[in-house]
Amino acid sequence: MRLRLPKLMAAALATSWLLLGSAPAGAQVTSEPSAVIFPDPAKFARGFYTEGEVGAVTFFGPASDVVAPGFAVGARFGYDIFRFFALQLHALGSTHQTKGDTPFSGQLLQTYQGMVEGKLTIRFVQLSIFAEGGVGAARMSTNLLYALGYARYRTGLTAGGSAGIDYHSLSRHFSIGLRAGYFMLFDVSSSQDLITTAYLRYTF
Amino acid sequence: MTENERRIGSLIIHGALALLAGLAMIGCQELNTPLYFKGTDIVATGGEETPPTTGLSLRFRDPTQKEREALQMQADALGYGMDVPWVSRDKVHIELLYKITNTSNVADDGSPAEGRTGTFNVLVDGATEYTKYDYQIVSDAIAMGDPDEAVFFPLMQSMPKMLAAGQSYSGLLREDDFDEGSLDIDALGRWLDADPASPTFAGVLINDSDVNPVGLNLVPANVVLPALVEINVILQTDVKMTCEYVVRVRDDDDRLLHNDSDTLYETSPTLFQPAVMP
Repeated sequence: MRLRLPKLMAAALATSWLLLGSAPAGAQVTSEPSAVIFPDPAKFARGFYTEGEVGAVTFFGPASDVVAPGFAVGARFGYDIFRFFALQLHALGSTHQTKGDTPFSGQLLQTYQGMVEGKLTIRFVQLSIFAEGGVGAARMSTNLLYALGYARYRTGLTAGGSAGIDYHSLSRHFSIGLRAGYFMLFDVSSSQDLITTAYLRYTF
Repeated sequence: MTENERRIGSLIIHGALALLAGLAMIGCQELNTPLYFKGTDIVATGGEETPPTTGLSLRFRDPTQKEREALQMQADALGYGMDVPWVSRDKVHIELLYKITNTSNVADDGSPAEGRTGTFNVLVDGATEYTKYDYQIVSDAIAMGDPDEAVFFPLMQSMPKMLAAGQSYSGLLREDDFDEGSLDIDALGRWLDADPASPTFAGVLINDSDVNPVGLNLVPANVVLPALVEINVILQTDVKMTCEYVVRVRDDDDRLLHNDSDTLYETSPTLFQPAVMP
């Protein structure tokens, strides 16, 4: 018994520093870890894409006196050359009713528009804004505007631009968006049309 | 890419292609959309002995050799011994859209005037490639037989309607009205019963063939009827009125003349003249 007490005292003395507190730790962290971007836009698909759209076409200028706004369906097929720039083909058809106080009122008229467009995009993670412009042809299904004195030909040049906003889903392929575009109809007596659509895009 | 995403992607691709194909098809065929031909406005002073009229002729292209052969083959197959019309009712569909305005409240110099409610009737006659019908000729022929008899038998007509001063009325003579008119004019032209006792003339014009086919006894059941190539619009009123109108044509087989390389299909219809009643 007399030999054991001094050994216990020595052990307690040796470990007592643990109870008195430790010295400050000297960690090896040199900077804060970077925040994780989710979803990572770099992982979104890029390349060939297709879009389907629905919306409305509204005429402005002299043609708006005789042609009411109409329902529109369209499609695009394009290719992202860069993250910020794409080239695309656009086809859109819309159907309208004529209005006014003439024997022509109440008749149906379809317009078909086809364009080649360039598109610039600025992305903010899942959201992006874009502007696009193009040139192409617009064709009327009937000679109504000719008979009313608003157009000489059923087919004419069209050119203009659109802007919109796109929201990319967590899938790397799908996004949805809204766009509005204003196009000159060069062969319809100084008239224009406003195309407003909602679309679904799939990038391959 | 998951299997589900692949499937949705495929669906979208096919949907987009179908949409493009649909738009292309619409662009090419345009769902047989109509063409419109505006007629010259008619101005009636009211109560005219000979109501004012204007009209228009539809211009068709000549059939190609292949189309001529097809018409001949069809005529042979039908076997009733008459030509099949190039401008046929089953290929060319016509409608007349009109707007009548009672202008009795406006004087000739444009100043306001006291207007009167009036009655109008829109009459239509015209010609197919075989027969021309002119209500005035018919009326004159009837009057020769009986000067006291002033009868108008137009090929088609709207029903008489009253219209207050300054008011407008829009109406139409539908494709089925023109179908009936085509049948009537062909019955009077190519299938006229020469029997003086036959009620062909007035009976055909007065009766709706679906209800009462009187006077159509010589018309073969399988006949291919001609469509009108000339349309004359007559405005019959008792006060001052104007009529604006437009002829709407659906041309199934692209037979209207609109290419410079095509030649005009010339027609020389025979004027229908009723036998003068003693």
